[in-house]
Amino acid sequence: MKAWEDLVGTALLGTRRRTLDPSAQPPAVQSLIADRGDPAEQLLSAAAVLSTYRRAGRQPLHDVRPLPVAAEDERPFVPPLARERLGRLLAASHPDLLLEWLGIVAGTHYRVPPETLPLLAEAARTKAALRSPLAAVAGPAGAWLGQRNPDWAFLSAPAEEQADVWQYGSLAQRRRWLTAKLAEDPDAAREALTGSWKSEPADVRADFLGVLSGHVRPEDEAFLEAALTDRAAAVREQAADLLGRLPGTRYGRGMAERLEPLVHRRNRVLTVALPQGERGDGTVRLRTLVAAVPLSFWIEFGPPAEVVRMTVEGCPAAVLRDSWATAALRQRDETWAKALIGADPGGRTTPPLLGVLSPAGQAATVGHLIGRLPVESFARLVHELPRPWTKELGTALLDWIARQDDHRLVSHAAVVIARAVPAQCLRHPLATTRLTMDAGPWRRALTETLNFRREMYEELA
Amino acid sequence: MGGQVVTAVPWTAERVAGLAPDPASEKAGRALATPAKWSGAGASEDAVWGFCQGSGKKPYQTCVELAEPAFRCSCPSRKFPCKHALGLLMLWAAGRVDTGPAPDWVHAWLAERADRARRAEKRAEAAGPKDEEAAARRASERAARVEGGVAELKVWLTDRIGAGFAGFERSGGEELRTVAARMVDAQASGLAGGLRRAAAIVGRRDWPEALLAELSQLYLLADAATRLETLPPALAAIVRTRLGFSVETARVLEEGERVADEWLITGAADEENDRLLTRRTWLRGLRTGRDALVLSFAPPGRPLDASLPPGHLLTAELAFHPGAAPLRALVAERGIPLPAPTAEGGSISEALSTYARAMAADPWLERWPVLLSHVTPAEHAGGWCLSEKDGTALPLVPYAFPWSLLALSAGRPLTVAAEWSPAGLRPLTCWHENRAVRL
Repeated sequence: MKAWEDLVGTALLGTRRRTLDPSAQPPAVQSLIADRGDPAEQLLSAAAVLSTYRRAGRQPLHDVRPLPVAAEDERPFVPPLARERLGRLLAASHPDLLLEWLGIVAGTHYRVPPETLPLLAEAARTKAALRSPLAAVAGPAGAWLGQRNPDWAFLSAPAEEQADVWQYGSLAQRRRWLTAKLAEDPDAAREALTGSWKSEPADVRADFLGVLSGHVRPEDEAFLEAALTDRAAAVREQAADLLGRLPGTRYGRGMAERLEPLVHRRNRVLTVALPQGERGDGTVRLRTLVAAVPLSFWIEFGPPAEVVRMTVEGCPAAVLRDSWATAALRQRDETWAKALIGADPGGRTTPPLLGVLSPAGQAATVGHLIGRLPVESFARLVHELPRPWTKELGTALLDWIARQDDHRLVSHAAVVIARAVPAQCLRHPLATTRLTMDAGPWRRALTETLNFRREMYEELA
Repeated sequence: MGGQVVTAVPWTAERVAGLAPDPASEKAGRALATPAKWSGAGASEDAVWGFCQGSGKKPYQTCVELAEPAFRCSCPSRKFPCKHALGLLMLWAAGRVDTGPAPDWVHAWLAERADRARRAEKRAEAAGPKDEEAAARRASERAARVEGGVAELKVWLTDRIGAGFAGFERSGGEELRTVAARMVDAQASGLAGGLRRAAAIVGRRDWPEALLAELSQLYLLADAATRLETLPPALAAIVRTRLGFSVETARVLEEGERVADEWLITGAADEENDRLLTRRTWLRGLRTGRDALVLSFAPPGRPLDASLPPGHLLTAELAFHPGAAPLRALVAERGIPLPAPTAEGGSISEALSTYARAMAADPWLERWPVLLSHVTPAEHAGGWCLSEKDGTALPLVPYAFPWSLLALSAGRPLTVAAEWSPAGLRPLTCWHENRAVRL
């Protein structure tokens, strides 16, 4: 619009330096400003008319291209109370409770109201664990949104991985591929792994052995044995760890043969000599040896509960005990785990060893520990208990904390217990009994969290 | 909908959240909206009450009168309403407070409030005639001050256009704010507001053009102010309002045009200016098709009027402020707001032509309410817009957060209520699967 540009140009320079040309203005404007004497007033009057004209006569955009339409989502919204709770979860930023909530919803036929998706997606952007349940809950609307906003791309199902991702993908892509392949086609996965093994850098080799650790099987023995002589120490350690999980390996038998001459029992004294070597620390070699030997080796010296309590000579007792614990963890040996916990309940290997026990065994053992350990030690142990907790374990811990008095460590343990007990424990009397007004803040918070979680499940049942 | 509605319609959680003076209070309130925090909680038709355990030994005594709403809490918080009142209301809105007879302390407070209201009414009646003279004197003093401000602004404007904007991007903002401060002294708040808007423009992309538009509108206003007597009364009323003269509530209620209708509360937008919170609530009459704007003000930390929840229908009689194409109104007589699960809007071209007519009556119009049906969010030139099926579209303001609207649409058309201004659409409410959603 020439007339308007003329006005803007004159206003920039000033009417004292550039005179406004009225003839460039539309006739209607010309007659309106004719009676103004001052050129500045003429300009302002003309601009007032033209700017109003431009605003009032604004034309819409044309030929805007529509966005694609998301697939229909027939699922109903979560019920009103659950919607309100989602608002509270988002406002209070409790990522672990939000994770649990999304997990529950993902198991139902509900979806979340779409207007909550931007906040949920932002939460999942910073906390990756939320992504997979959120993608399920958000459904087609979420996937559609993920295609619009690159920050939320995780809401869209990832594009079909290329067939050559194993050859050319990034480390993360290759890890993902290997994990998936190990589950769906174990033979093909191993073929791919052994095929490229020699050309992988050392850290990648160690990394892939870590991926394999969840899927290791007896047929892997030869491959792992070869990896024992790897140039990289990290790979050798990983291979030894994985071999230790397999029963009846040649490696295990070999290690047992080497250990045999070093161990002697006389009455209640167990003598374990340190293995000799060209260099390095004898205790390190002993650790490797004991951790790799099948625990059945020790049967000739007595039952596990007896062996772990013997007086140890020839080597530090702690080293031997730690190595037994490593072996028990690798071989998932419940009897040994129980024996080791019983011999040293406050030891640092107790929490991982509890993970080896069956649910009932776990709850019973924790019950014993409650009686044997000072409150402070047990409260510290609660933080390290392997998860997820079973119903039995959860109930045992709730029973324990219900009896405790105010104590800093107890209040810290209460936070863990409130979040970690499984859903079946949420009707525990601790949650359903009304609190007295003088109850300590930690007890109040515990009850609140348990109730919050119980309501979460009920609202979505 | 005649007859007296007695049972209180439960509030939505959103409506409660709308009472919060700031986001922190809303968050704190949510944390308290759990039965474990409360004892002795109850609700009647008029009020909700309960005891909340705080950090201290003695629990706080909290009570909310629902009609206004009014709040009382024994906590020392200076927020209003405090988190306890908010938490209690949220709990109640979630259906977790049982109905029961009010205890004595609640009764006592409600009675005290009613008593105070009666006394205030009496005082107002008694004070009436005596102050008239003083009020007239104050009014004429102010008129003279505004007149002086207008004259000063005209001189400054013509002088500025004479000298030109060149170099203005460095010092212009400060110069404009200085003039704005002088207009505040002259009690011409409308002129001051325009100058502050102009100050915010300087330095932006294409600022000379936008600045000229803004200043020429101010010149038009100042020029009109010098010949108020010769203008048609309706236009003169607009000019006076735009200058910053307010019309007393009592006068609007007494003399303003009354329109009874079923009003759809299409949306609300909050803004903070000069340490004052302003809430613009837009209404659309279902029978008359009239648009109305209800303003409410509050200092920061105090709640804004929450009696007009967006996405609700309200049978009410509005009293409009004087002026041509009057938009601003007060609620004179009202029923109880009921959720409006759907809304029927118009097309983009209809909205633009209504806007053009409104601009013809009031060229200083800053924004205009639109209610658009069958529009879909779409991308255009790196920004977002709302598009009709044939590709006709209006852009969103650049600062709009489009993602909630996008998520709700997922490519499908919606009904959207928005404010239209030269900068674009600011979406306020949308209707989705039989419910209204505040954006």
